[in-house]
Amino acid sequence: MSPDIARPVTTPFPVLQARRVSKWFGEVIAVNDSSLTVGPGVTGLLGLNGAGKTTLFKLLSGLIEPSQGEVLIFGQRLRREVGLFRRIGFCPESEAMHDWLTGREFVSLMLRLMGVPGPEIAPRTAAALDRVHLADAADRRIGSYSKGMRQKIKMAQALVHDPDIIFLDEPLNGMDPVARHEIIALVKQLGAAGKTVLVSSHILPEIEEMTRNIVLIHHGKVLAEGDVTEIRDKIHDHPTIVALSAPEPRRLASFLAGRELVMGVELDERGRVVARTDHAVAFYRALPGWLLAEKLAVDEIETLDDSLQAVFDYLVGD
Amino acid sequence: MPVYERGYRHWEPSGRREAAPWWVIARRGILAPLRTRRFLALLLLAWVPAVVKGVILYFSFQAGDLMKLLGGSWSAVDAPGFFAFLEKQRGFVLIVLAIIGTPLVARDRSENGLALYFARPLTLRDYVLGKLLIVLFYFLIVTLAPVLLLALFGYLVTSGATGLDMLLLTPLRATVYCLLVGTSLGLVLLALSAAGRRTVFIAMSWLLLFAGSALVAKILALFGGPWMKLLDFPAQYEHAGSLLFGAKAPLEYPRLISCLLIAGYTVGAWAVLRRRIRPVEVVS
Repeated sequence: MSPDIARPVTTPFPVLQARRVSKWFGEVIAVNDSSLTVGPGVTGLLGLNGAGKTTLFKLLSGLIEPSQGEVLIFGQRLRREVGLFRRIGFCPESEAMHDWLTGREFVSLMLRLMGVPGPEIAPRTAAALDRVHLADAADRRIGSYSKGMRQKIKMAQALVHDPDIIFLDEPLNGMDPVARHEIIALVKQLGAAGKTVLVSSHILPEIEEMTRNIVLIHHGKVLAEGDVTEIRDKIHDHPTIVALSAPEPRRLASFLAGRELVMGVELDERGRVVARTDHAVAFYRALPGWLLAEKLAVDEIETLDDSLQAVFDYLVGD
Repeated sequence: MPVYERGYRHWEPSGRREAAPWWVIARRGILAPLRTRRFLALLLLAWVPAVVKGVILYFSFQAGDLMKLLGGSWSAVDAPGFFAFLEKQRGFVLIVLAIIGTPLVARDRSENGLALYFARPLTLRDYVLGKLLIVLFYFLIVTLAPVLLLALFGYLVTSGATGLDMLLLTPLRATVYCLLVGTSLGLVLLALSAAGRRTVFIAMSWLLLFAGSALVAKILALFGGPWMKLLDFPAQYEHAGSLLFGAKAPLEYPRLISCLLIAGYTVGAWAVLRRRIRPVEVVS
């Protein structure tokens, strides 16, 4: 099919699926009986150093094979169908690269390995370099690149063949704030375009800037996957704390205290009503109806502990 | 039935591939060293013996027997003469392949190239074939290419007096010999490159294997007899190759033993490559 007459793709299979995957290195188990499904959009793969994040990332991207279980891309096993790699873009964590090549040579080499026809190599390479804001440095040797530029050239080679699934391993390492902003915007743009983007990081604010959808791994097990708020709602040991700024805080507090979904209410030093609930999603669904029925006004609602950090801390027990 | 993808615009390569992945790897690896002037100078230097032989060939047919006598094997235009020429190129083979071959896999292993390569639609065979062709190309440049030109030159200089043997059989023998030896040496060199990460150590290992083993075997042969020459790595290729060219056997034991040893080197090298270059890690 010509790239000019591209077609939308649908499949009855999940884009990326791991089924009861385990991986041992000798007697050390790096990933233990983990299952997950990743769909279109940006998903953050989170975990502390040594949690098994990198191993899971490599398993999902087909670079290593599980000791048990299977990883499927569009319902097929990667290593049995090497052609599937054309639909994958992989951006490794390591900065070590082909230093003797220029950025343009490197990206075009990687594109040629995808089997892209010759006439398309130059325009696609130029477009990928432009996309990561490296067009000006494209003809310099990679050896002269800064750390941030190396990250960008790795991104370029991962995106140059327009893959469906993009694996980004710690993509913001070593980037300055401007470059970080550019790459975060690019990742969000890819997710919004329907690409499946899996971003691995141990820096929570980085992930938080890109997505609310996460896979959390700890001690080799997938602890949670899904939207951060939904995951947060399922953590019953730690009630969700919601702060509401209202013109009539005491009347609001009194009303909320009588609701079943609310476990406790108090006023904080800023005069806000602080409510605790075990069922944040149900609470948020019910709140507008309550306010309308009671003619209560609320200026601002803030969830105090559904940040990725809080969810992460609750789940890993730190 | 759920539909998981959201219908974004997807591009996939059309029709036939532009180039097989092994060719992409080989092409890049062959062209890259040619940018270096020093390496080009080395290649030119490797052709000096061919030029010398060409000149001697020319004058030996112009000046007659005296020049042939002075020229020795340099003036020989038969198959053993060209075989002797190929063996004289051994020093250049050693150096050129050390420069070209030692970093081929080691650099990819240390610079994360393997992950980049194998996250693409290529197999271990594509990768090894691509790298092997790089070694083979430069091996042939310093061995087969001058022989073919000299054979043609000799045929022209003698106005066809050397016959079809010079024009067809000698080039054929040389081609078969160089392809077999180049493939075997290439795999051994790639295996060394895959076994380490620092090119300096790999180059030293290559020198030890190539030159060191010959030296050690010669010394040991003084005390332990001719069988000690089994340790001489490059001599096995010469010994086996002498059969193909109808030249005198340089070693005392049967050529079959050298053939078996070469097969062993080659299979062993492939086993090392399979173990060290891993698109997937397999836990035993």
